[in-house]
Amino acid sequence: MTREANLLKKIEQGDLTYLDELIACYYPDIFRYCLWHTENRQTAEDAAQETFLRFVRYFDRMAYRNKVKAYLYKIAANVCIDMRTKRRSEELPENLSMRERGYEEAEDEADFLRLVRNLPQHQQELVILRFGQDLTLRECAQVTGLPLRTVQSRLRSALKKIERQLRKGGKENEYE
Amino acid sequence: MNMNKKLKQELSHYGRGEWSQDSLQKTCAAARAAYGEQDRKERIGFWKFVIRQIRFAGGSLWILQAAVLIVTCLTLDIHLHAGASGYGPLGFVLSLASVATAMTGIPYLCRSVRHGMYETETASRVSFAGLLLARLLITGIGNLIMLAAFFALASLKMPLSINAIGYMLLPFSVIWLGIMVLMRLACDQLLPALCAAYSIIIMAALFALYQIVPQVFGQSSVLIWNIVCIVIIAGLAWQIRTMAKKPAYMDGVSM
Amino acid sequence: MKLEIKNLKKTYKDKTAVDGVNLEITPGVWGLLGANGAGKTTLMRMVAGILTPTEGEILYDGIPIKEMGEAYRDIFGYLPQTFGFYPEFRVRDYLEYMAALKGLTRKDTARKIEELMEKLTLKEVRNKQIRKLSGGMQRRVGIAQALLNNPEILILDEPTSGLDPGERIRFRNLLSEFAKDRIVVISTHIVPDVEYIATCNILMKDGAIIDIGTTEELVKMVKGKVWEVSLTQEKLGPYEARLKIINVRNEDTGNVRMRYLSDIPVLPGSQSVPPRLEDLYLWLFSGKEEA
Repeated sequence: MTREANLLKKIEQGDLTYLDELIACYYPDIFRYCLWHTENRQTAEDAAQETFLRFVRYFDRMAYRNKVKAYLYKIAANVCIDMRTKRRSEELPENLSMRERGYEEAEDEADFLRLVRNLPQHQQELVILRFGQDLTLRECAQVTGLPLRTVQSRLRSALKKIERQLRKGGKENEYE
Repeated sequence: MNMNKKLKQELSHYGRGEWSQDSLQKTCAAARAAYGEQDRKERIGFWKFVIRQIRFAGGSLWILQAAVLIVTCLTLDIHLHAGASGYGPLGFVLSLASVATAMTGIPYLCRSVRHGMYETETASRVSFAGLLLARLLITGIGNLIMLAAFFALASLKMPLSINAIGYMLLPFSVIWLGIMVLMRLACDQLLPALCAAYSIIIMAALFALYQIVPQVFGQSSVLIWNIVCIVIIAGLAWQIRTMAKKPAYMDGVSM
Repeated sequence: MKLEIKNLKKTYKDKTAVDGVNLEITPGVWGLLGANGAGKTTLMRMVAGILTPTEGEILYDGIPIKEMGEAYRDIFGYLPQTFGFYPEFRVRDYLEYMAALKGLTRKDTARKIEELMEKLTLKEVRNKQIRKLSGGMQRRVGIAQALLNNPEILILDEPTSGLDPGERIRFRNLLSEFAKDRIVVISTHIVPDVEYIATCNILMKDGAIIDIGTTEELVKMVKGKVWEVSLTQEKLGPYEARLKIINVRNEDTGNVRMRYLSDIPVLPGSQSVPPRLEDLYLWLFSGKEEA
């Protein structure tokens, strides 16, 4: 979007109020994305902040001005992976659980969301980006680096899988 | 589809409105700080780079161009005095002069591979593509001066209409196009020799044409020269653009 | 600062130079060891972004370097294995030329050149023609060029060949210091040059990575397989063809001390000695290497 290109140009020239504007624009979505991946509010806030910090640090390197959104999600994905790896190495096995969020919804998490969580990683990620974060197919392709066709076919497989599970009565799967 | 809607509904509600203004502000402050402590690297733009290259082009390019200019003028002057006159001979003479002009650029354009600098240059920020563009500009300016001088001299012998520049521009762009193509396909030690060989073949072809079909250089053919010239120049422009769009990789290099 | 190499392949019509390399490189000194023809140079050229891979991709901090374009070359310093100079270049001319190619402003150029000439002790030769300098000095000039843009990633392809022992040590110290917050990858077939400064070693053979690890981890492979024995000069002859000899030293007694590789001791009186990286290198790559 040219609006973004304009924002970037202004930031480059040193006007940091536009940086605030850029962050404020994307923060809620990036935070939600991080929340899904980290399942912990504090960690999600840290992850979101780290995402924007990296964005600023790599500012000079951005070769593509009109793909800010995809770029931010790419960084966020990496940040979440790094945080998961770090957490895994710091945690004791007994505490390892998917329910760390600390608010009630965790226990009553709709079967539906649970079905999405049980999807294999490569499908789950696309489902989240497409339906949770409302990215276009093209943007999904940019974020994951996959060809458009692969994105479409994986989404189709994911939807089929969810449908099948729902038909079975939406029963819980064993965690993989 | 129903499934799509349901997914969207559920997933896009997940975590909605759970972010805090506080952490947003914290993030903004941290981002500003990070931006501030960046080592803001200043880098020069393309045109400043070209100007800096002038120093490194060295007098050797211009000395060569000046020398070729003088020698060619004298040679052709003698040839023309020896009785040949009229459009045909002049056209022939101009075409030869333009090949000689184009050839002056070969040593300079092929410098990188001749002296083992190609790989180091390619890995730099500007990379070989930018360097090539700068070299083409610097060489081109010298060449244009040479061509203008030849044309002016020829006009002294006999008034020429402006479209006679086709006699010069066509062979000139054919040589340059050949150099560009060779550079893309065979960027190694053999490059300067290949370019020189190619140019000599073109020159020989011009000689042959002049002996066998001298009408090719006659006034009636000028239009054809100009038309073909435009096509070749378009090809040359496109070739240069392709090479400049990405840095010249070591892909075609056999070293 | 992380360089990820994913399934990198480079095939030519007649051979596969790099065959499915996967690496994750973090700040520190990395030694890339392998015989000539193992694919080291091809791999380095792809990492430098100047050779297109047939398959696979390279990411820096999650961004494909292909997309970064000149922004990647901007944070990159590279010294190829063979490099030349324009004949008229003096040391200062060359560095100013490369600085222009790296896009440095005039002010930055002057400052950086001063700094590097100091660090690499090139001040005395600043106005000398590079062609006339020794091989070791020329290589120092080459390294200076690679450092001009203060790169985050430094790739050096066989940087120590042609350097004398004193220069090698100076070079090691310089690199150790430089690598504190940066990624430095050095490819070499001279093992001692990286053995002590490399945080991690990558062993490469026939285009593939055969092992990665610190020096201590890797030498375990040849533990108990390295022997030393003293013998007379004449007795040495027949063994030269049969054994993997690492080196032979002269002793004061007039005998020679032979260091060799073997699963079991071949000569009586052989003593087992702690293995070094060089021993491992010969164990894996012998048969292709010149001594």
